[in-house]
Parts: sequence; C-alpha cells; structure tokens
Amino acid sequence: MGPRRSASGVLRRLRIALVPDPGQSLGLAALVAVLTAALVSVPLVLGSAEQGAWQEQRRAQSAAGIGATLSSAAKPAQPEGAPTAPGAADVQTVPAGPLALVPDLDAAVAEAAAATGTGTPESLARFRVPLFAPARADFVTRAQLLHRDGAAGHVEVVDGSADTRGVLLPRRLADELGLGPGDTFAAESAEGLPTALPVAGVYADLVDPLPTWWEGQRELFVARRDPESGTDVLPPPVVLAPRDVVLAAAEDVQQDLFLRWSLPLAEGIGVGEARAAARRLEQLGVVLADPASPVAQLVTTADFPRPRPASELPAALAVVDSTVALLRPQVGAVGTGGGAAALVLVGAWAGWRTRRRGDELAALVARGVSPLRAAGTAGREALLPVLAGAVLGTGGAWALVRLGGPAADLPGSVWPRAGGALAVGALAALLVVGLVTGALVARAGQLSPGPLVQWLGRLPWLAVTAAVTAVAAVPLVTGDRGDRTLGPVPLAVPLLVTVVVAGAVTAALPLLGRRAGARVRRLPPAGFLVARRVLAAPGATRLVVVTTALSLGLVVYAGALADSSRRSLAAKAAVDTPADVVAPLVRRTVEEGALPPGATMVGYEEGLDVVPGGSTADLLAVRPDELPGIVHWDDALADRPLADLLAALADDRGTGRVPVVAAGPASGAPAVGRELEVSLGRYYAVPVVVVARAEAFPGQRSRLPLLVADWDSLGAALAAVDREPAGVLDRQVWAAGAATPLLEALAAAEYGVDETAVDTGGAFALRPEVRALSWSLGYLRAVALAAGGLGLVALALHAAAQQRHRTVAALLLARMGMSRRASDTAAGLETGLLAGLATVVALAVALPASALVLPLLDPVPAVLPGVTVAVPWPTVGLTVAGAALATAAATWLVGRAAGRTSGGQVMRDAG
Amino acid sequence: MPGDPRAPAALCEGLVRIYWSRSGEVHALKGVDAVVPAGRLTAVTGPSGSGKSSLLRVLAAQDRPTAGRAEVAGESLAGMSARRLRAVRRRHVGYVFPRPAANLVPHLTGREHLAMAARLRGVPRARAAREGGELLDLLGIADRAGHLPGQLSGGEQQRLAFALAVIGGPALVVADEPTGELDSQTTAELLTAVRALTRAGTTVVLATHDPLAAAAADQVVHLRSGTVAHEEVAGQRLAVIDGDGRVQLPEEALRRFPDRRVRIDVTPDGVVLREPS
Repeated sequence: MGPRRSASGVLRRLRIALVPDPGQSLGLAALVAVLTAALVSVPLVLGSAEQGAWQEQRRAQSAAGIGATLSSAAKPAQPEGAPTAPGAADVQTVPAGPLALVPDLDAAVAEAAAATGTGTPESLARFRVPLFAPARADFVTRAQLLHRDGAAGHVEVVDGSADTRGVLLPRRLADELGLGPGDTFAAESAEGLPTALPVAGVYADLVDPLPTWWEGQRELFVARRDPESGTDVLPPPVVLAPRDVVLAAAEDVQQDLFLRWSLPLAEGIGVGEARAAARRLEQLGVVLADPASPVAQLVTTADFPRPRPASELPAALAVVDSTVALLRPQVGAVGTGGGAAALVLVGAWAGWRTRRRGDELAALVARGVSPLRAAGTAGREALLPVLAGAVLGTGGAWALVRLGGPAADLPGSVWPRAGGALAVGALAALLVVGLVTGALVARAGQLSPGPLVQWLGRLPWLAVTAAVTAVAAVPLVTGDRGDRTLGPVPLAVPLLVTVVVAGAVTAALPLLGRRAGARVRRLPPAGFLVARRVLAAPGATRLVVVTTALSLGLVVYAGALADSSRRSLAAKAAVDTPADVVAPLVRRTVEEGALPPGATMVGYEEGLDVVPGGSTADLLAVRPDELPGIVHWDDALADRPLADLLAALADDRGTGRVPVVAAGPASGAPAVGRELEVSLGRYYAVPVVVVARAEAFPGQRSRLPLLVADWDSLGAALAAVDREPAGVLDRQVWAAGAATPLLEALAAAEYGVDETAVDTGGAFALRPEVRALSWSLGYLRAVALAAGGLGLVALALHAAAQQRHRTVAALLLARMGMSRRASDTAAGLETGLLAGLATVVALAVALPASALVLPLLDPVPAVLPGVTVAVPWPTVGLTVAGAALATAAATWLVGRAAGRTSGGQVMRDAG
Repeated sequence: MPGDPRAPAALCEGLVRIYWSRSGEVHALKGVDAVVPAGRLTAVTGPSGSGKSSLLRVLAAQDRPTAGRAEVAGESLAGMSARRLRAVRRRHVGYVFPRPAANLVPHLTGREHLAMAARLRGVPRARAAREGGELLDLLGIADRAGHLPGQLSGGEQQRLAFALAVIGGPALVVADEPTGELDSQTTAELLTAVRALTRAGTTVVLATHDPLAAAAADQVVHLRSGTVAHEEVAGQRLAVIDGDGRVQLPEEALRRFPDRRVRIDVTPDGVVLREPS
C-alpha cells in the first residue's frame, strides 16, 4: 500500500506541477499544434516542392538523357604505309584510339566510375558503318554489329543462347541468311574486307514501341519513312556480339568503332540522391580530366577522344533549384506569418489562462511572487502541452504535406530544418506564455500604469492600422510594384484592409445602437437582447468580429488568388504553347509534302510596322478550318468562342482588305472596324481590317498586339505583290498528339524542322516560376483554411465564454420569465449576427482587395493575357457554410453551458 | 526593529494616498495616523469609501503612500520600488482575501497549499511541515488537511487561508473582510481561530463591517472620509492626535462647536475644550 500511495503521490504532484488544468492544457496544445504546423510546414513544403519538381523533371527526361554518357572512338591499326581505304578517308580525320587498347580504356573508365561511386558503366561499341552480308545471289543485306553490356538479357533469344564467342542474329536476318546457332555469319566491309562470326543464337526482332532499355538505340531498330518512296524503311539488322568479337571484327574489316559508356540514373530516386549523383558525376569529370588518371593517359598517349560525362541531370537540378528558390520567399512569408499569428493566439491563450485564474494571480501578487517566478510556473505548466502540440503539429504538417503537397516523398534534408522549426515553435510558445504571464503579473502588482502602457492605451489603433494599410497599399495602387515579388507586405495589404474595415464597422455599431434606440426597444425580448448586445459592441466583441473577418478574409483572399492565377495560367499556357506540338520550320529549300493529319501550318512575323498610328504588331496567319481540334483555346482569351473569331476571319466587311482578329490588351490593340496597313518587308504592305478582338491568341509571342489573319486571305493579298505567305512568314507546324510521330512524318515529308526549338504542350506548366506560383498559392490556401477554421472556432468559444460571463444576467432573466429557448435563441442569433458581419466584411473587402495583389502574381508577364480576378465561388460557399456551422456550434455550446449552470452556485459565486 | 518585541508591526503617520483617474484626483487617505501593535488583532472599520481598502493595501505593502509615512516590519514603504515591495510582501506580510475560494487553488489539498505557501516564502521544507501541522491544529482543521477546497466549508476554507497567510511567521497578516461571506456561527469560529493565532504571537489586521469581528479585536481603528475618526482600545474610545497636534473630534463633540472654534483649557486634571464665550 505504501509504495503504491507514494507512486500515486508522485504522479499527483507531477500532474499538479505540469498539467494542473487539463482543459486549458488542451487548448494550448491545439494552438501550439497550429503554430508548429505552420512553421514546420515551410521546410516540408519546400522539400516537397523540391522533390515534386525533381519528379517532374525526371518524367520529362528520357532515361538516357538524365543518365550520364561518355563517348569515345577506336580505329583499327593501319599498316605502316598502307593507303587509306576508299570511303574511309574521314576515319583518318576523326581522333580515335587503337582497337587493341579499347579493353584498357574500358577498364580505366570503369575504374574511374567505381572510384567516384558513380556505379558500373555499361559499355557500348558499334561500327560506324554497317557491314554488308550477302543474303541471296541477287541481294545483299547490311548488318550493324553492336555490343552493349547486358544486351542478351534484354532480348528474347528464340534459338540457341548467348555466349562469349558468338553473335546473336535478329530473326529477320537469320531467316534471310538461313543461319542458326552453330553456323557462321560472314560479312564484309564496303571495301570487301571479310569477317566471319560464329552464330550463338537468334533473338526476336525488336519492334516499336521498344523496351525502355533499348530507347537509347532507337535509331538502330525503328523504321524511318523513305522520302522518295514514301514507304517505311527498316535500319540494318542489329547483330548483338560480345565486345571482343566486335573488336576482332572491326580489326578484320578495318572499320572504326563508336564507343560509349552509360551510367544510368537509378529509377525512383529522390532529389537528394539525384544531387549526390550529380556531385559524383562532377567528380567523375574531374577524375577523367586529371592528367594522372589512366583514362587521361590513354587519351594522351593513344589519341582516344576524351570521354566526358554528359547528362541532363545538372540542368534538371538547376530547374529544381530555380523552382524552390522562387517558392521559398512566398512559402516562408506565408508559413512564418501563419506561425506568427498562431503565436499571437498562444499569447492570447496565456492572457486568458491568467484571467481565468485571476484569484490565483491576485494571491500570488499579494504574496509577493515575482513576475519571473510566475512566468517560470506558467512555462512549467505549459511544457507538456507545448511538447504534445509540437509533436502533433509536426505530424499533422507532415501528413498534410504528404497528402496535398507537390510530392508525397520528402527528401531527408528537410528533417533537420523541420526539427529546427519545431524547436523554434516550441521555444517561442513557451517564451510567449512566460512573457505574457510575467507581464500580467507585473501589471497586476503595478501601483499605477507606466507611461508606455498609458501611451499605448491612448493610441488610436484603428487609425494607426489604417495609416499603415494606406502606406503599404500605395505601391500597389500607383503601379510602382518594384521587382514584382510577392513579399510579406504586399501580400498583407488585403488583410490589413479587411482589418481596418472590420474595425471601422464594429466601431460604428454603438453609434448605430444609439440611433436605433427606440426601434430596438420595440423588439421582442430575445430580439431586444440580441440587438443591444451586438450594437453595444464591447471591446471583446469588436476583437472577435475583427479576427473572424480577418481569418475568413484570408480564406477568401487565398481562394481568389489561387482561382484567379489558375485561370490566368491556363490561358497563358494556351498562348505560350498553342498546340500539343509546335515545330518551327526552317526556310523551305525543297518541295515539301503534305502535312500529316492533325497538323496545321501557321505563319508568324514579329515587329511589323502598322499604319496609321505608327505602332508595331505581330502577324499570325492561320488556316481557320484546320485550327479547331489542334489549337489550345481558353475561354478567358476572348469574350466569344474561338469558332466565332475564326468565322469572322472570312468577313472582310466589304472593304476588300484582309480581315484580322486583333489580340492583345485593349489599351494597345486596334479597335474593331479599324482599317490598317501592315508592312511586310520594306516595299510591300497588306491592307487589313480588324473584325474582332481578343485578349490574347494562342501562339502570341509578346505583349505586342497580334493580328491574326486567314492564311489564304493573306496569300491572296500577298499575291498582288508577287509574294506568298510561306516566303514571307516564319512557319510553324502546330499539331495535336505526340511529338515523335509528327517529327518523323515532317522529316519524311522533307520539312526542315528546327528540332532544338520544338515545344510540346505542358512545357509552360513546368516552368519554375509557374510551378512555384501554383504551389505557393496552394500552400497559402491550406494555411488560410486552417486560419479560417481557427477563427470560427474562436468565435464559437467566445460565445461560450460570453455565456459564462453572463450567468448572473441569464439567471435574473430566467427568473423574470425569459424562457430557456428564447435565451438560447438570443445567444445563437447574436453569434450568427457577429459571424454574418465578419463574413460580409470578408467577402466585400478581401475579394476586391485581392485585385490589388493579383498583378504581382503574374509569373510570366511577357505572356498574355494578364491576370484577372476570378470569384472563387467554392471558397465563398465554404466561408458562408463555415460561418453557419460556427454559429450552430456556438448555439449548442451556449445551450449546454446554460443547461449545466446551477442557479444557487451562480448566486454564491456572484457574492 | 523587527526584532524588537515592543515595536509595532506596522505604523502610519500622516499617511496620504491619492489616486489619479480620468475624472480627477481621488484622495483616499488624507493623513491617517495608526499603529498596529505586534501580536494583536487590529480591526479597521468604517463606511464604504472611508479608505479601509486603501489603508489595507498600504499595510499589505501592495501600495505606496503618496505622502506621509508607512512602515511595515520596520521598513518604510515610501519610495520603495515595486521589486522591494514584493520582497516585503513575501517576507513580512500574509494576506487573506474576502472570498474564501479566492484564497485557494481548486486542485491543491490543504497540506499542499501550506507547502506551496511555505515554498513561496522560502521556508525550509522541514520547518514548513512542522509549522503547517501546528497551524492546522491551532486552527482546528488538522483532520481536513488532505481535502481539496471544494470539500471544505466556507469557514474551513477561510481558516486554511489564514494558515497560508501565517505560515513562515510574517510580521503582519492583513485580512480584507475575512468574515464577509460567513454566517455568524462560522464567523465566531473563525474569530476564535484568529484570536488563537494572535495569542501565539501573530499580528493580524482585518478590515471589517462585521460588529462581531470588531468586538473580537484588541484595537479598532475607525476610518471616516480617509482619516481616523477614532480608535477603540480595551473598550475605550480614543481620538487620535496626529504628528502636528491635530485631533479629530467625534461627531457628537463636533456638534457642540457649530462655529468650528474652540477654547482649550489645560488644567491639572486634563485638557478641556469649551465653546468660545
């Protein structure tokens, strides 16, 4: 019994020392959870964005591109004085090492890769020129001899088996030559030098779509269209051979080899591992360049081209870094702001705790307890709730970021920063609890308020906030927006405006109450009570309305920003990438064939002089009948459908001019009906008439007005000056679907495509600035929703607290005959009115005020259209529903509190 | 001074306390002269607004005089910093609030309350345990020491509050209307307990409207309009002469001098006040 009592006594003492009031502790834990979640979410969201950006980059790159490749070449030894073989003159001009030293180079590369931890390179060797193999008496086929480490494991061997001395023939070659395992494959070079290769087996032909492993050698396996015959032509069959067999054959036929080593990037790795891989690659480059390294010595002594690691990985990581760098200030501002707001609430909790324990505070003051000691006690009592809240908040932030963040997997590097944020949040909460308690104890023991307190008490806070808001809003209103970054000050302007308006409205309530005095008195008791309480608007009520309006305003504001920017980005994406594939063509030099189905030709010319007015505009020629179904169109681009705009291009309004659609900002683009002359070149101009307007048009390259014309109409106009659009304009092919088939079809049709400038749909969304904006607004929205929820919970709790303050009044009203139902209805109506007032202010102020900030959110201002405000109807609905829910919850809480109140206890406590 | 058994626990001479409010100055105490003898029960009475609470706040070292002299346990409060006032409160003053529940923390038992109060006053644990036990015995609540405040009656709560105020042996225990919420039976029991404390050497000052409490006091200081109207000691009603020789006459004496002028005759038997002829 003794030890048990002792143990329970210790536990009781610990509970009293650490959690004297579990209800209060629960509130603090909840607030600290919000605080910690806000702070910890900053590194977590940044980490998630880093991982998400990496995953997008990884998806956008082929395995061969993102992995590293090293290239070199080898050539057979030339007998001294031997004449160069016909057709192989260029062999002598390309540096290449001797075939005999290829195994040494292979080993040296492997050694360097192993030393730098980049893995085991996969080597590839193939003939520069395919061999010839006699098939039938009247037909000679060609064959490519290829070695690739592990190739036999990535084909289906249908006859025989791979070994180290023989080759694997593709089935079509084996069938053509009538060869099988055990036979000899005889081939020769263009110069007639023969080689004989033992056949170890036959593998099934690789066909499109190729296995991923073979994507890097696509050109060796996939058929290409012959422009002359218009038929698909297969490349020479690929004979798979061990490296030594390839080297021996190359020596036999005196052919040079391409050598390549691949260091594929492991699938599914995170951004942290990708960074480590990039560092290792960099180190590999350094090692290979080191004159003392075996590779460098072979390069120097044997004339091998220096193998250098080439990879898209560093560029992909640079995009990732750029995305995170753009995201960091905004996420930091939102998360820190959320944390600061939560910290203020923690301070408010500390004040509330002290007031709830006012008797204890007075007793402590009377006993001469110092503020420091009181702060220490408060800190001790806050320790466990703070730790619990911090853990809960961190877990919540982790779960939410995983659930709604850019990527579910977070890089390991976020945890030290998240741990730091957790520690900062927890320490800040403890510090604030201690400071507020200490300050309140010091004030309670103060003989008279100090000059600072008196001065702060006299300060007109509403006017000061209004002045600060006005100053902060000046750059937004006047258009001086600096570097267009979304810093904390511009971000806060709509919220400040909301606070000022909510403060002004609540300050006006007592005035309204005085004016409505007589009318209010005519109301029934419950209505009278509600009206008097709301119109009296004491300080606590004002504070609650302002904070609720602020939290709901934040929800509306975040919703407006997110919806508006999403809509604008969708429109910009349509303008920036007008079709799934945009392939710029080089100037026509040969007769081109027909475009494949699902593709259309457009012409573009930039910076044309337009008269009258002396302005500059771009010109886009399109084929209106081909555009639908290919072009990306967004309804935000014009106030009428695309079909209407295209139809208008056929109507010249009887002017004989080329009808054009003018796209661009209304301030710069010509108006409908305007007749203009567009100079195309120095000596000829095209008369046009503007038949329709659009905010922007797909393909528009700058903020200059764009005149969109029908290709044929423009052609007819140019024919008058003996010109045609194809000769005057830069041409592009816009197509729906995948890029590869289009490019192959264009190549087959003799179109010269600038493949470095080919754009595919979705590239716009992958821009770091676009990604950063989308993710930061998503984060802002999440934080805003949390803040909105917190504001509504505070409203409901305020109603419950008011009920506790009004117990005596409620008892007296009950004894005077007011029913419990009427009393509860009055409390519900009061909360509903306050919530309604806050909601109306939030919607009426935060929504239009968002328009001030929206121009700052344009991540790509060079691409039209600009950002316009979109009313976030779902968010508005959510806000109204939340206010209604909070009212219902408050009514229930007040009713429950009233039901639990004992009249006798109330009167005793009141005494 | 605190060591001198004949020294008063507290004294006020010409004590003035003026508060500043938005409506102007409030002269709460206008030159109070009072002595609180050590080891006695002193009651401060007077109508509402007479300055009882202001005087008590000064005696409890919760406030400083605007002018005049105020000493608690031999330490002058005039010009004392808030920090030193706290130290005086911690070392020398015990305080009892009017509402029994206001003196106690709901989740601590009587014994835990005493331990906490002793800790705040810096009393060693062993001494605190011994003193606590003695106090609980003296106040008649030893059998209630393990109970929470909610399980104690109002009188028991107030006796426990006195125990908290007394533990550690402060020079002065100040109680503001300690019987205000108690019935007469409980008031009598509490006053018996307080008398027991004073017999044990504790100095108690209590502000009260309760005639029972005033009757139990060794000395009653009656305030009127911020000044001492009179004192009652051992059944005698005494006027107070301040440091400048001023005497405040009782109401019935004052009515004898409608012109506010008096002739003073000093005789071998005493001092006689007469109406001017």
